[in-house]
Amino acid sequence: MPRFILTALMALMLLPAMAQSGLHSDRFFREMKALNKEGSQVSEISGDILKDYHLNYYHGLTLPYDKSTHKYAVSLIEQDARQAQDVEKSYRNGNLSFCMLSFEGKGNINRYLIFYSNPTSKKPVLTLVYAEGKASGDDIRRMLKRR
Amino acid sequence: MKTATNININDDALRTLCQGWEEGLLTRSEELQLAAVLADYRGEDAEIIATREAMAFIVREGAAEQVRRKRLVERRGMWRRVAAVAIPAVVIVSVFIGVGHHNRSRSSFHAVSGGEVSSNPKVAMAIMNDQLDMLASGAEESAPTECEEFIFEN
Repeated sequence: MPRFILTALMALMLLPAMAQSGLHSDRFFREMKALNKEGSQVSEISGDILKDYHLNYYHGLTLPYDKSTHKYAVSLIEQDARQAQDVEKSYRNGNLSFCMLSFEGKGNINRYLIFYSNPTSKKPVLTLVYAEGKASGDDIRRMLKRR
Repeated sequence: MKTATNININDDALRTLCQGWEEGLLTRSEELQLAAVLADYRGEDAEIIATREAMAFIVREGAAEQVRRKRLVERRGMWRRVAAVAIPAVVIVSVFIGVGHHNRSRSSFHAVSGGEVSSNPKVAMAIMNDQLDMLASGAEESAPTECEEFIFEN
């Protein structure tokens, strides 16, 4: 019995880590986390604290902008976009600057991948967020609009 | 029918009355008072109890002892009823509080900032808010302007 409980707990702990699995961008999250680049920021949150956003999992990554990282991220996002249910993209100077992909999850759980880069700003960064929950695409847009 | 409540007699007084009656020391009014008390505890009519034979039987039975036992049983019954309501109520409230606490503490946090790993909710939430702010500005920049919308529609 204790062994079963331990296994169940370990499985539960693994769940968030696997949350963006199945997406090409998952590689980006894992590799950048491992690289632990200077100036990078990672936030991984799961649970009831996100219920105001109608989400149950959030994984965000912010990196200092550089062309190669941007190119790599975009290549993975473009692959994910092919399997996305809804795609919203915006380009600046020929480069992808904002992108929101929606995927259908299991049950009534939706999955979102949101990307933003601002190479021309004073502090150029690249942000990639994966979120999942009951929130609709409009909920996510409203949440971003309210900020 | 007289009742113990309106006679307001305690156990000791009842025992004294019983002893007094056995020894033939009670007046007729005291006898009636005793009969009323005993009748009340037995749920019978005072007039019936007041007959000498009936009262003699009850007094021999040990009326005072009966009264005490009855009160004890009543008191126990009262506590049982209180416990029957209170214990499940306490259990239910505890479960609700426990579940609420469990739900609140079910959230997990992992943050990396400046190379430092943290599980502090404040740090993780602050980073998330920064990231959402950035995405919000990205979404705003990417939103079509009224002019663009007009061109698109036409």
